[in-house]
Amino acid sequence: MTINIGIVSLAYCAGCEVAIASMERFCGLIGSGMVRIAYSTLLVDREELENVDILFVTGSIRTYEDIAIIKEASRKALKIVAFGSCACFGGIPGLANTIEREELLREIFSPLKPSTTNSRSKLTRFIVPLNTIVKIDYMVPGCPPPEPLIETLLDSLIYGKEFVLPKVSVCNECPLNRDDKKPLKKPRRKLLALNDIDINTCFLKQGILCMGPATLAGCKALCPSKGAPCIGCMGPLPNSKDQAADMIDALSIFYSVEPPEEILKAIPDPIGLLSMFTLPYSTIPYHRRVGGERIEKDVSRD
Amino acid sequence: MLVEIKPVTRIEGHLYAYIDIGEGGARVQLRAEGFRGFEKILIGRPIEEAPNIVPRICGVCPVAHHLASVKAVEAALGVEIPRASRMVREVMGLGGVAQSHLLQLGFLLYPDIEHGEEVRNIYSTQLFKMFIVLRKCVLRIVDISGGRHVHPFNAVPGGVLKLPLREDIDVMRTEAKNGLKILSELYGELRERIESFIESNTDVVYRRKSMAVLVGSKEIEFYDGMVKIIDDNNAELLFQPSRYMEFIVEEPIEYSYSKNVYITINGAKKIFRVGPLSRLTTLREIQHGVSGEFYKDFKAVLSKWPQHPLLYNLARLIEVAYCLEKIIEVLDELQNTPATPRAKTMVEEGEGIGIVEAPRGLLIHHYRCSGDGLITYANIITPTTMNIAAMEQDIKELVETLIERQLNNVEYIKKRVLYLIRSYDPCISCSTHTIHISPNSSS
Ligand code: SF4
Ligand code: SF4
Ligand code: SF4
Repeated sequence: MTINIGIVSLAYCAGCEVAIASMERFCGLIGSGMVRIAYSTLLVDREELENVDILFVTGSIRTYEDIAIIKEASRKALKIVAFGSCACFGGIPGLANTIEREELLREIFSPLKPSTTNSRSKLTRFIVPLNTIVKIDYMVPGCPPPEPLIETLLDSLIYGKEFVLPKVSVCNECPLNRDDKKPLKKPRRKLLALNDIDINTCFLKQGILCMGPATLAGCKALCPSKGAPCIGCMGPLPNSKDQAADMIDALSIFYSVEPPEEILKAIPDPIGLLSMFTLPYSTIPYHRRVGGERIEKDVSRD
Repeated sequence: MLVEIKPVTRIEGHLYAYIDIGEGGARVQLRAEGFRGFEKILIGRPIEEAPNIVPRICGVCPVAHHLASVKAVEAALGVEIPRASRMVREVMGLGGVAQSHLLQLGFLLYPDIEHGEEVRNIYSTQLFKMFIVLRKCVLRIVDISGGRHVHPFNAVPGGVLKLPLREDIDVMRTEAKNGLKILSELYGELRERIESFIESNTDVVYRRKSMAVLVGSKEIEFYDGMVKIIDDNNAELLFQPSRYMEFIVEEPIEYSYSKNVYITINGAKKIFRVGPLSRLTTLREIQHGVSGEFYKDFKAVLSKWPQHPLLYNLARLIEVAYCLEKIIEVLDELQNTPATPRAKTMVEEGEGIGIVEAPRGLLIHHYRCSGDGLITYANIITPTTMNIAAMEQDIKELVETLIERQLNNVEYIKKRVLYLIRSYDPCISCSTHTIHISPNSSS
């Protein structure tokens, strides 16, 4: 039996595709005929998506064309996987959500005149997570999804095991976690902390922002175990409403210090630093400035 | 006649090609989709976060963005980094180039060089399996030096977070040596296939193009140096990266959102090429063992079909060998260099430019930051954006020649155009990090 996979990419960086194609096991599955890539503009030579067993969606939804593509593609798939944090939560391109669409274009193309042709597809007002457009069956977050998680996904494809995400935070997998939350230093900005950072001690304890406590496990604490604070690419824990809010909670446990302005100095850009990958999914009403927009969900799969 | 390729497959990103063939010749439009707006996203962010954010422009060449970005940040803050950290970055950069080239040669180009056989499943061929093992060696090197091969994070303003330990250096050296061994086994057959692929496409003669490359202390300099331009009349120009705005111009196109990129030399504005072909064409010699030998083969082919765009593919193969050999050399040096990971950084106002040779050519990051170290301006010019005009010109020449020879079967034209586009290995997510390209440069 061959499992047919389609990969549809929206506004993406191809890192998700590269991550999976870099796994020997995945290539081996294709080589042996267990898996077939039925569609992917990166990997195969096919102009149209055919009916597939499983559809991987990568990238975020940035244009009305993306919405049309994904609604159409979803009708050809038995199961849909939101692959990568762009598809799951909007990802880094979602940081553009605090900027008005017109401003985004104006600033970037200035001093260019706006286009009078209609060859480009029109931008949506803001980036929305995939599951507000179509029902998705599995979320595989990460930027890109970490190898252990892709392994689990492949297991579920091949052996039919149910794919489940971890339920704990990055701290639970972190080799720097020593269960003692006593801060060693005052919170301070990463750029300055670099001067005396100790890569073998919990970053939060050293007063450096590490998104570990508010971020879903699954990457085996990749960054902290290699000397870098977690920037939250796996997105929020299950049942969380907002990764940024969770992180603020966690910070208040570590740093009951007064005044709170001290913490803000250490985190000069709370929107970007606490929701780097999840802004479109956040409950903070940043949309107010940008204005609302109703996009019809395709409920045929619900 | 309108030839439409929608989408162009086996390349990175969403690209559509429109070729309108009429009485006066062919009009070519390469239209790229996939807007994200990175230059605007960066505004207001702490400058030290830029090297974490910008790799997400492109998952095929994230290392190049990571490094160009951190260099721009350091230029803005006026930091000089310790030697050891520079070496780690060089290893990461060389590995990044090699892995991207192997991705293109193995996953994207390979079906085209299968001697035209209809291969159902390239993943089951012996050659492809060897590719995978070879690429894995390179990926491990980037994983260690950069933290992770897709979206590395080890470079930070001032240096790197983590210097590889003695064992890490040994592992990387072994991987590079293994890689080189596998490559030597693959080389003969691959070279032959690529050469006959080039040869079967030499019925079209392409116009000479200007070129731009980075030059520094190494034969092929990827990490740091001056920019050298050689124009189509062989005139040369050398300038510091900080002066890029005088020589590399982005030009608005009235009827679209696109920008085109040109070089200016002696007052003239010219279409130019960057990337492996330009790097190897402007080079005199490679002194190294294996890649030095391979380079001789390249030169022989080059002298037969100078500047033929399909030579990009052979150039990539040679560069993989070069990168692996350089990695070993740099690692040997790193082992005897004082293990200082970072220099001191401070928050201050500034402006900085970082240029590297990405797998596809020159990559420019340019930032300004305010006194509190928040980004106030960002400009990024990617190699694919630079190459788009040259690609369009080449497609135009290709199609017009084919039509002249009565080879006007649409499927055949499409096939030839695809060969040409894939040889450039465009990275559309890079080129559309900000812009949509729908230029009409060829009219
Ligand atoms: S989730 Fe990350 S790796 Fe995947 S497309 Fe988005 S930016 Fe690229
Ligand atoms: S806060 Fe960061 S460094 Fe500390 S235990 Fe959690 S993940 Fe590890
Ligand atoms: S440690 Fe954090 S940023 Fe790094 S891979 Fe894991 S979730 Fe992503």
